[in-house]
Amino acid sequence: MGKQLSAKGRQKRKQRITIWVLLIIIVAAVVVSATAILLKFGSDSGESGSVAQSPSSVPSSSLSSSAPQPAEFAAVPESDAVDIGYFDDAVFVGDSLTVGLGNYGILPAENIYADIGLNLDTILTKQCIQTTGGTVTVLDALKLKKPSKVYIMLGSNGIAWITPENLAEKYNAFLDKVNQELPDATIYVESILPVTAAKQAGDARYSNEAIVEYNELLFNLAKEKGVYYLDCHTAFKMADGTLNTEYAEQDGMHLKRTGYEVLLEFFKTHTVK
Amino acid sequence: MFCVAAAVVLLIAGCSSSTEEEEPDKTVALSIICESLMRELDYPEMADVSNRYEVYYSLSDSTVKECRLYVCSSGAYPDELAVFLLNDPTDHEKLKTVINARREYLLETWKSYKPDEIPKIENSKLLEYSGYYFYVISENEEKASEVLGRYFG
Repeated sequence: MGKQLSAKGRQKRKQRITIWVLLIIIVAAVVVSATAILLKFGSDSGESGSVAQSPSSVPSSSLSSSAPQPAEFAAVPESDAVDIGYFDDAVFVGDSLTVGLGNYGILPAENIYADIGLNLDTILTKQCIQTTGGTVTVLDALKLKKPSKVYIMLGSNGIAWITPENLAEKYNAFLDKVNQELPDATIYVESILPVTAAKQAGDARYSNEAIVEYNELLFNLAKEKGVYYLDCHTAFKMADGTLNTEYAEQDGMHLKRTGYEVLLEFFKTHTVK
Repeated sequence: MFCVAAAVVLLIAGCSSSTEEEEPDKTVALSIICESLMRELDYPEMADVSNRYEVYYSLSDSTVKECRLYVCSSGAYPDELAVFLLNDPTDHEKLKTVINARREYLLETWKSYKPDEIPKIENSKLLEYSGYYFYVISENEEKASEVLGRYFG
């Protein structure tokens, strides 16, 4: 009987040990799983923290409703060509380079809000756009027309005398006003086009290296403001970075009809939905 | 060439007594003169913006009977050719005032934009032939009288 009890006692002790071992394994598994989950959560919250810094520098009020997301910001990529009707509700703002779009009949003149010599110093003050209410500034004309899309090409006339910082500041102020007046519009900022090798050689103020730097500024500005950036520059430059003479006027800066045809094709194949 | 010129002069000279049906012919004739001017004065590629002359000159159809207006297509140069025929010939002083305002505007614009183009604007000419006022901005503006003289005698 004593031997029987002893055997039963050993069996019970064996069972208890087994239960404890199982409990320890279960607890260990729970602890490992919990640690893994906590580690994963911690790593995720770290990533979102770094993303959050980027948009925080963009005032939400300055972002149009169709704005590109800063984290994935890039120049508008090539897409299927849109019909010319896409530009019916678009306005093209700029200097003489944009004036040419209307003069050559590439786009309807009534959609061109541009003037010879218009630049970032005068864009907010020069009364140069004819409307039914008289001759007004570009911004006032935009307020009246309320286009769905605004294409802006400014800066070419300024590179000779405006510092990059000044250009960014003035462009920034203009974009703020446009965003404020047309919060639902799709806004495209066009890069500055290159100049020919002859222009660059004959006038030190117009260097293609400087134009590339200005364009980097415009890219960053577009990103910060939540508007779209159109890299037209690339469509016009040759391997050495100068404006393709096939498209250039004699002054090495403006475009001939062939240049405007290329520009329109670029616009048609670089749009956002 | 002389016959063509004579025919054009006859078309223009007869404009005051022309019937409405003849209007298209007059326009073509004036276009021929403008094209000749732009070719011989070596204008750059020009855009015909006649239907928007009010944008460039503070005038309207109440004053202007007929207008042809050409500006540099690319915007690279201030070259311009404007031709006006007035409803009332006595409005010529008003026209001169408006043209002078346009000249001042261009001088102001190009002064900071491309100063080396300023002489073209400073030397611009306003010429009158048979009631047609030709405002010529070109580096060869001195040839304008010679060309127009061939058409208007």
